[in-house]
Amino acid sequence: MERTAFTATFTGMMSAFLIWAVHFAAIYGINGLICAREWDGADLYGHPVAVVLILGATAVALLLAAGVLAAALWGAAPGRRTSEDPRRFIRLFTGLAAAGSLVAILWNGLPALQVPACG
Amino acid sequence: MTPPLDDAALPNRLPRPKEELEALKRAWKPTSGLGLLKEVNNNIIGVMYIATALLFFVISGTLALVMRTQLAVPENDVLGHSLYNQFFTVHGTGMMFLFAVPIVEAIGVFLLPSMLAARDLPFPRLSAFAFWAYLFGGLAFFCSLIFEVAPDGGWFMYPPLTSMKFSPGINADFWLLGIGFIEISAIAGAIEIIVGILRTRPPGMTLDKIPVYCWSMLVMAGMIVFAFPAVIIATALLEIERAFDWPFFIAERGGDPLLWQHLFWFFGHPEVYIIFLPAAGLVSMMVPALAQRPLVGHDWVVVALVGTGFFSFGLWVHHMFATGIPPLSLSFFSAASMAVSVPAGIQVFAWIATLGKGRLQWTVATWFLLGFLFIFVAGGLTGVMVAVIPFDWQAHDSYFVVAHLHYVLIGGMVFPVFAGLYHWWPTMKGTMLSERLGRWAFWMMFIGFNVAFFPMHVSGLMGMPRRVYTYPGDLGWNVLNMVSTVGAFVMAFGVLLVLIDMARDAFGRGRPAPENPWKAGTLEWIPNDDYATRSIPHVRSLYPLWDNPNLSREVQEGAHYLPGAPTRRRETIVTSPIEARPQYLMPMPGPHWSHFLAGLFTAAHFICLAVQLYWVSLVPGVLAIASVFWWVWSLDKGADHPPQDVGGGWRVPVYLQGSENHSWWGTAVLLLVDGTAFACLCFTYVFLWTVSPDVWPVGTDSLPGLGWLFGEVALWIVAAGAMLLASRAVAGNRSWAMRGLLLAGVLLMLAAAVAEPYNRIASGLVASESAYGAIVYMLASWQVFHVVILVLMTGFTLARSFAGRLHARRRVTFDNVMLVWLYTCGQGIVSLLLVHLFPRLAV
Repeated sequence: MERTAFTATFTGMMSAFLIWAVHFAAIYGINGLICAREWDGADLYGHPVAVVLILGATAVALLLAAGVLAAALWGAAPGRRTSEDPRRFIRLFTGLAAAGSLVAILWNGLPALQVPACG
Repeated sequence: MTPPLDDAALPNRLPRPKEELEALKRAWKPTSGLGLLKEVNNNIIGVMYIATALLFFVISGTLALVMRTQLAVPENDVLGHSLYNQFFTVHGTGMMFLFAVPIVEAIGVFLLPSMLAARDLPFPRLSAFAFWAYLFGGLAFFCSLIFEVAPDGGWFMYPPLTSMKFSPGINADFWLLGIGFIEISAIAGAIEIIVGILRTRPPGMTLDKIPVYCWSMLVMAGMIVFAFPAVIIATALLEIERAFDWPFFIAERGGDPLLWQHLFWFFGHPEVYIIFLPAAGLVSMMVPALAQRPLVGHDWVVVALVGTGFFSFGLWVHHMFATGIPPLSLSFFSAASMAVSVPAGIQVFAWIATLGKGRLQWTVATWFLLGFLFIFVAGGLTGVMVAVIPFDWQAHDSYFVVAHLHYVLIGGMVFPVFAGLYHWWPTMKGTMLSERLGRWAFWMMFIGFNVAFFPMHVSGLMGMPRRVYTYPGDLGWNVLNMVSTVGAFVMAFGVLLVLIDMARDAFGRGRPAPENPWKAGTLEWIPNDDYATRSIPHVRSLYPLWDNPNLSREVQEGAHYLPGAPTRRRETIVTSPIEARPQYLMPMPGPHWSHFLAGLFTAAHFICLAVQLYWVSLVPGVLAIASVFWWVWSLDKGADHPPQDVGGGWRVPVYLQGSENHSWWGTAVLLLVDGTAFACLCFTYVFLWTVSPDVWPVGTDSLPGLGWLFGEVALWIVAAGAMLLASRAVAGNRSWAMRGLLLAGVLLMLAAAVAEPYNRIASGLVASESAYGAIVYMLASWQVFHVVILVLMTGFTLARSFAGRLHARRRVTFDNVMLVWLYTCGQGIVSLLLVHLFPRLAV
């Protein structure tokens, strides 16, 4: 019981950071692959394929991180089954991590609007 | 006269029986003389670990002084270019791998148990093994300089410079094998730290009451788990390329030197934070004690620590801005480099706010902390500069970068560690270092450091490149280099004063320390002995000693948990990871020769490999394995005592199996390391395909048929099923069924592991021909390696079964083997799917 609670709680606390990590790996991987295989000339919906995919991944990641933040603010964050002290801390941690990750995801994704994918 | 304590609300009634303390002392009595080699107690291993790390710091620093002497004037000839290359390689490697990481782990081994009021960390023999492996390996590494066979490719060992073609001889092998194996010791320490912090906290120390230092160590250990496998895989690939000519990094055959940089810096950048975060944790403990008020924004600082740990993994390419990576990719890393400065900044502001709000005690530690703040902030600012891509292109590989990295590393880590040495020295043996000598040492180090390294910013901007052993006299660098050299010697003199101060104390000249000399609020300041604190306190806040002025006395009188040694052996309480509720009483292994011999033979094995005595290396290799079996044979004792009363109404068992057991947690963390290493190999496969699709098969003619894939996957699935059935047999005490299933399962795994290389050889694939062949055989070899380990583990499990040490109520060994077994089967399937399906699906 305690182990399950720990795994779920700890993963929940880290979820926003994990979303950032997956987003980061995804946009780097997408761009690296497109440039290495010289697919940067391709268009998607009239825009360069790298830009569309990276902005799409960024939008998804932002939504997910915002969901984690909302959960922390409205009490659905991990740690519901713990006693009051760790619960308060777990919520605060999850919320702050989500807020920080939102900024970092946005920060990482925005260069796609300004910088050419492959130079 | 001290009034008696009101024990109504205390976990144990007072006074305690006299024989209780005697039993505790007997159980934890340290060995002496040669017996020290057998010792596992963190109080002893931690001190030896710290001393060894400082020794390696001095050796690496001395190399720096010789290099600075060489560079003091133009066209100097103290060192030739070949020896200079070896010096800067061993200096950098020694500082990063043999000082910085080990000392933060060593401080953790020493400090964490007392900060958590645990009697010891959960795997004391593992800590001791890690120490001995590190000591022997480190000494051998430095000795390579004496014979002029030291590595000379820089601490980052970039191929192709370090490939066999450009680095024949054994110099590079010393780095690849020596350092690769010492990293195993760092991982062992990380496992110990993670499980220790999560499972050996005192009752009441819920997640929100964990001291910041413990959080920082948890983050650091987690980062080691996910970062170090990358460098271990990188070193393995390069060593295999050198030994067997498998071209992972040779561009002509489909390899790519940039693969090394990706793997190395995926480790190398987080490494900076692996070093810095524990130091930041120390600072976050010292600042409140010195300012006599709680850390401002404690919860924010904890989130900042974890955030820094995560974000730092997104920075590795910022060491590769000049390698031709696409501009948008560079922007991601530039943005992440800026993002990571935010959580680092939160910590700096929290320290400044705490210092500003409190009444500061002006100790030596305070001076080192202020020095740290000044230097680290300056290093952070130049870090933001080099995170800006156009600036980095200008400053790349110049002395500006040398200055930046020394400001960050020495400022961010060495100064806090020296502050910590002065601050926590009284917890070691109750004496204090000299405040007067300490202040002299600080000022010499602080002034010397800035005089040495600030001019390097300027010489770098004037164009002086890194790693040059000399320079002509007409480039305007002469004065700057002379000033740097003078500064380096002044700083070294400061370090020498600290060493003299420590030596004075060791020879009995230290002042006796009062109890809790800085009036700190955390548990490590409760008087300690070989058995740690007399009883394990119940924790109700972040600064328990401030909130309950009687706590130290209560603990010393035995009024809290586990005031004795109820089973007459070394033991500590294992608590639940979130709410820190007592779960069971963990018996702890005592002094033994096995971990010492395992460390010695492991080091000998790798040194033999490095000097190309391949057959001879088998002897220490086998002896090391035998030593490990000897070590673990006496563990997993089962419930050999009835449940024990530890106080506060808690009556806990002395054994718990399944996923609650601490060793299960250790195995799970080890598998995270293993999984990361495997992920690095999968990345290698995809990366090499990305850069060299021309060496990958076109069509399916040269690929083994899909029948091979299905057959091998089926073998792994059946092997996993055999293990699950064996587990049920253990639960039903059907020993012969379990033994039969294990044997059948291991044979199936052997068949599956051998089938893959067999069919590749049959289909004509040659590892040395192309990067494709090399990585396919590498993945197959990785799987064979795991099966060989499982053959040994299965043999051990069967031996325990035959000896009557494994049954339904005593199955922790079995459960741990099962974890590794199931992981290996899963890894085998993923590996097969990758190498068989990817070439069929890839465009």
